[in-house]
Amino acid sequence: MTPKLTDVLDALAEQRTDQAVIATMSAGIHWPLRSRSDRDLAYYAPMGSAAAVGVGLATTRPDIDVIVLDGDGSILMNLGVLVTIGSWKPRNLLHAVMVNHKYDVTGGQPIPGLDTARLDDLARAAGVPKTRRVAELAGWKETLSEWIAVPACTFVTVEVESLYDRTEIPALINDPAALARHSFAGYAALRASLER
Amino acid sequence: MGELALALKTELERNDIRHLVSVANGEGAALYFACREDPTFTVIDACREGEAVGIGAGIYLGGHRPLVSMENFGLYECLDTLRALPIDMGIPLLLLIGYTARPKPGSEEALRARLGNAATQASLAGRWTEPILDLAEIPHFLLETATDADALSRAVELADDRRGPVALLTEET
Repeated sequence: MTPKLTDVLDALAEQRTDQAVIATMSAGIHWPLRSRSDRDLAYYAPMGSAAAVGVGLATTRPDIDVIVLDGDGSILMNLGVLVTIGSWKPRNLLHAVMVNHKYDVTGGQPIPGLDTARLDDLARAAGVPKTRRVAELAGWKETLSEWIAVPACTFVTVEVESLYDRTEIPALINDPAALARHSFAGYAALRASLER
Repeated sequence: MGELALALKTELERNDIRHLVSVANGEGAALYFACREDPTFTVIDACREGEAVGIGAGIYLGGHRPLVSMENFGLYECLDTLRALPIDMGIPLLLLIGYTARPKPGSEEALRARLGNAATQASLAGRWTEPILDLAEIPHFLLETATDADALSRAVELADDRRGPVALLTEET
């Protein structure tokens, strides 16, 4: 059964230890309220930039394990970053793309290549050493526990049910836990928490 | 290596900048290759300018200060990423922007001699550069000769003070 995005995020919150998490789009809206750590940055990543931030951090700070929670529509706007990740292969990067086949944030338009493109195939062709496609919560939990135990440059797509209700957004974004993790405040707080 | 590239590399070292994120550009090529040859520098090649800005934001998140290098054509490509990352998030990101077709006396004729009909497009890119940086409220310094390289230190200071991006413009390093 295709899991809900919130169940996928709860599974991460449960297993996560001290990893930095960069979350965007639908995951970025819901993650701050489910996270149990302050090592988070949530934002509306323009043009799919969350994975770029993740690879920049992972490449220059090999002592920090980095999880990027991306969206399928989001990564399609920045496919070149898969080539950069495949080139550097940062051991400490898990790039997880939530796949719901829609641009939820803009009203549910279908993403291009819905029936023809497979993101995990693209990542593998770009040189990312470990790729995986999971469609059930158990597969996601297994991927997480394996990666947390032995981090390796990994790209995973996670099929999720579409979960977007525009009426919920103000409450989600204005929650103090969200405000502390979003954009300006989130970036400053995460940077401070990563200082050596 | 060109004199300006050599002077800029010295300025980078003085400011403890050891990470260069680059999208291929001719104007910054001499500095790029100088950094690549130096094992104390990490050079990350990005596929696109918005990606490069994101990588730069990630490097700064990890406690290092990068230089992000691109063409002015690429500046136009990455405006939304500049807005959402260094501008919205207060990241003192240093940009080195290749100033193709910088408007100055005789530049139109020189461009036409070099590029033929393509000069029209390049000329537009040159005319847009400073107005777009001004519109985005990104301060900028022009680097013409090696004696201008100390602007890099001033740009670092200004970026820290403003908590935002600052650009260095150059026609050739």
